[in-house]
Amino acid sequence: MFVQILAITALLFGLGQPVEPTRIQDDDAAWAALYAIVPQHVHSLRARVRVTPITDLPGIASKLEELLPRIAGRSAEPIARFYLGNVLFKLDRFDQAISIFESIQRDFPGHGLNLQLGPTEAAMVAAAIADCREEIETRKTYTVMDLPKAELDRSGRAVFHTTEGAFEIQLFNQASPETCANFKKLVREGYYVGLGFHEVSSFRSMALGCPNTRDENKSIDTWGQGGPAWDLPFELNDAIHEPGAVSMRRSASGRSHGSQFTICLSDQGELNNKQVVFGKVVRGIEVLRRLSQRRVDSKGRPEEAIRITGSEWAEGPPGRR
Amino acid sequence: MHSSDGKRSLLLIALLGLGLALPIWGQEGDEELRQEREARERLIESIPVPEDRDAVAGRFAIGGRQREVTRGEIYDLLVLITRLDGAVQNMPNEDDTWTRLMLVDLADSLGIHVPASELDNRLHRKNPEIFNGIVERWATSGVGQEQGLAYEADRMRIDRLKDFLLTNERQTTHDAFDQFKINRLLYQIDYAGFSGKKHSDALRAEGISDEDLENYWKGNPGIQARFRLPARISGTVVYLDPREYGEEEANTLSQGGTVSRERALAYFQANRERLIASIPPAERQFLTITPGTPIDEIKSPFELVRGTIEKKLALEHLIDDAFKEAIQGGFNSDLPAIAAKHHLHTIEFTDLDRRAAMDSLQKIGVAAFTQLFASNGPRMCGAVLVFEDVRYFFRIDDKKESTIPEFATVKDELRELYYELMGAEAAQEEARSIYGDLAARVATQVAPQREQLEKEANEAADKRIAELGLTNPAEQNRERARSLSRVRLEMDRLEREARPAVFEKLVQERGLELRRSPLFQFDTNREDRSRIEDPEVSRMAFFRTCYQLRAMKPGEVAPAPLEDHLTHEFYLARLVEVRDPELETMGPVDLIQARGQLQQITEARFPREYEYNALAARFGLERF
Repeated sequence: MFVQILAITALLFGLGQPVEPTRIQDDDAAWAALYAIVPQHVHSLRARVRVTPITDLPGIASKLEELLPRIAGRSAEPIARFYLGNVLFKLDRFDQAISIFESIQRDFPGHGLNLQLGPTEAAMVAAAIADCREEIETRKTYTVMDLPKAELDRSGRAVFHTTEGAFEIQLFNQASPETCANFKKLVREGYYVGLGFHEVSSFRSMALGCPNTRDENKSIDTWGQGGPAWDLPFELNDAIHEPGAVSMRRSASGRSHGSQFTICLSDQGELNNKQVVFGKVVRGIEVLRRLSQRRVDSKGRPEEAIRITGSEWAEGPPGRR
Repeated sequence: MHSSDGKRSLLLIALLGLGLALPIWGQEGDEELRQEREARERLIESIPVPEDRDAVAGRFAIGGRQREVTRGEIYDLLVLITRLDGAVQNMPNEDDTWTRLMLVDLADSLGIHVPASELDNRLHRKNPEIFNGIVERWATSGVGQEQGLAYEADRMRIDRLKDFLLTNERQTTHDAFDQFKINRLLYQIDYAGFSGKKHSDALRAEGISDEDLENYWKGNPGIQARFRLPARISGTVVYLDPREYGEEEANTLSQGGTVSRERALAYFQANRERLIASIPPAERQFLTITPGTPIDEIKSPFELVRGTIEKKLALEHLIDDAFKEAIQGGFNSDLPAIAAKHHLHTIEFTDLDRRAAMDSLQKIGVAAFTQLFASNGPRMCGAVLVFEDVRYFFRIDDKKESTIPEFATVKDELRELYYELMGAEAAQEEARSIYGDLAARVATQVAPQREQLEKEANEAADKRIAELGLTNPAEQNRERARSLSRVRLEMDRLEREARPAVFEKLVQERGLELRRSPLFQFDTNREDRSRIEDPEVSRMAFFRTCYQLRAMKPGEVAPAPLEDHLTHEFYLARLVEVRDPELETMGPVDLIQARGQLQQITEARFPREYEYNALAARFGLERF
């Protein structure tokens, strides 16, 4: 009985039939609907621009896809299609982008998007199609990985004390969960207390976390070779080796090391992809820069040990225990 | 706030939104606006009114459609821009009018449109008070409502055009790769090395007599300076550092005396910045309020450092008493004994130079060294001195002035230095002689072209001098120099092109052994090579940071010997190849970084692309 009522209701109200989009009949309204979707940037009188970042490309794509049939025949249509084509390009949907761009060529041959604006430049749509085709070719041999986004977890941080002062590290918990959980655990256990930096390069980077540096009687030749009994998955994310980046060193197995990490004091792009950046120094980078200037031997081992005198896991933003 | 003030503030916001001149609050603001308006009017009066308004001022073409603009249009638009956007500091000029015309035309070509509702919102049309205020401002600037509306509509269209172009920028993987590879290009060079070591070894085998060495010593003050012995001092510092006393010890030594809050506060005020900076990170949390902080936990900076201050002040009598006793006991007082008696610490030092003092006497700060090393001989300081929380006094027992040592004491070390420096000099000479030969042969080879170019340049200069009717010799010379400077650029190019073949021939004739380096990347950071033992590793580290090589093009020969100051080696070098790294070497994180860099570059580049010069070049603007 209920099903029958539902079926009759559906028939009466036309449910189940393809819904005809509500057409926008007015050019002004069509442009207003388009501008409500696409970002606007800030162009100052002093010839500067502040770009509004697009955070939801798929959302914009579906809104534009929904808008297009509604503004069919309106002056905003080719521009809206061009926007959609470029959003699809940014979403790596190159074939679909080409279809959209080709539809502009087919349906609006005399539109400015299909004209050479300057004498030496390609028409905008033609250039877009060329970019899509180039990208399709490139991707045949080159894989673009979608990496987890590295965002600092502000709820807590590791505090390390040295004779020159303290520095604090916050973690990319979501992007590299196992690496961060391991680091947090080691900090809480006091694993790093008493350890010395085993490789220091002035103003460039410092490496910490080898337990062989704790024992003064142990040969410095063993520095950099110690660690816990485990290693960690290589949880690459999109963080780069910029100043302050903290990344796990690699173990011989190719996985991330269990305890040794590098702190970047300047851009160290050559470490990108080779080590997992799992955190960032949020306070005290100047302390590390000062320490990095100590005398080291040819392998970067400090002549006088630079030790961690204390460490703790602290909740809350930097400076708060 | 009065209601008229309220209206005024809304109008202010609206005007700011339009980018119009910002009126300053109150009567002074009105005055400033009036002055600004007058300045604009003066500028408008200075714009020459075209005699023939219909004459063509220039033309450009966008999308294949040519647009001719008359002098009248340019004049009217410049007046309008000046009235609406002119500011004393930034008065528009004709370039701005052309820029605006080209941008509006570009927006037209692309069919960019701004709905009327958006313009209404921008001008607050739904709020008659604000809208009328805007129209009134236009009117006082001599701009009618229709004109103002059309101007604003064009401005918005330009902004939407820029939004459209900026949002639709695409970055391909190859764009990112081009950015990525900038610092990762692979270089390969051919080089011949001239080692100072070979010559030093030969000199060492030959030897140098003491007499000749002494003459070398006497004749080279620069070498003597290398051996100069720095000034050195011996003496004792007695100091009080409150941080070195535990709570209990401090209480006992303070003799039960209490430090008043006023005295502690006065000390805090006098040393405020330093004391706040000294608060350890773990305690800083008590200084700020964040959600959830119990209010009774919040402390003032003074409260946090008060304990330290009190301890310092309570112990001060120890150093004062010790100093008095040392003065009373005369110059030869037993300072360590006095210090011990008053529970103070001492640093005794012998033959300390400034460098060593940095380590030994860091407790009393570098500023104290001036006093310590200023002593001409034994002396006791005249008062208790202060460095941060440390109080101290000192006695210098002996000072040795900076001297040049006797030849006899340094001759062995000097001999080694002599071989090394002379070897380096010989190597440099060898490299220079080859380069001299190279330069001479290149010059000979390009001499006919040089003569021809110089002749042409002089003829051109003479012609220009005649055309300009220059009679003043100084002006004539300037014209000739200008003409010849263009020849120099051309000559540089010719020499650069001729050098590789001449180099090749020279290498063969002289039997030089050219070595080919492996492919290497340049490194902007110079590493400390002093501890690199392997000469090959050290050499490659030198090449990696050698900026002369980086500036060369494939096939080019370095225009001068490359000098490695560390190893005293000199190199003749030719750049063989600059190769792109493989695309696969750009890992996923590199790609993200390169894309981020491209985004930043776009933000910087984009505004420039829509400025006068770029637009004029792009759309073939011709002005008459």
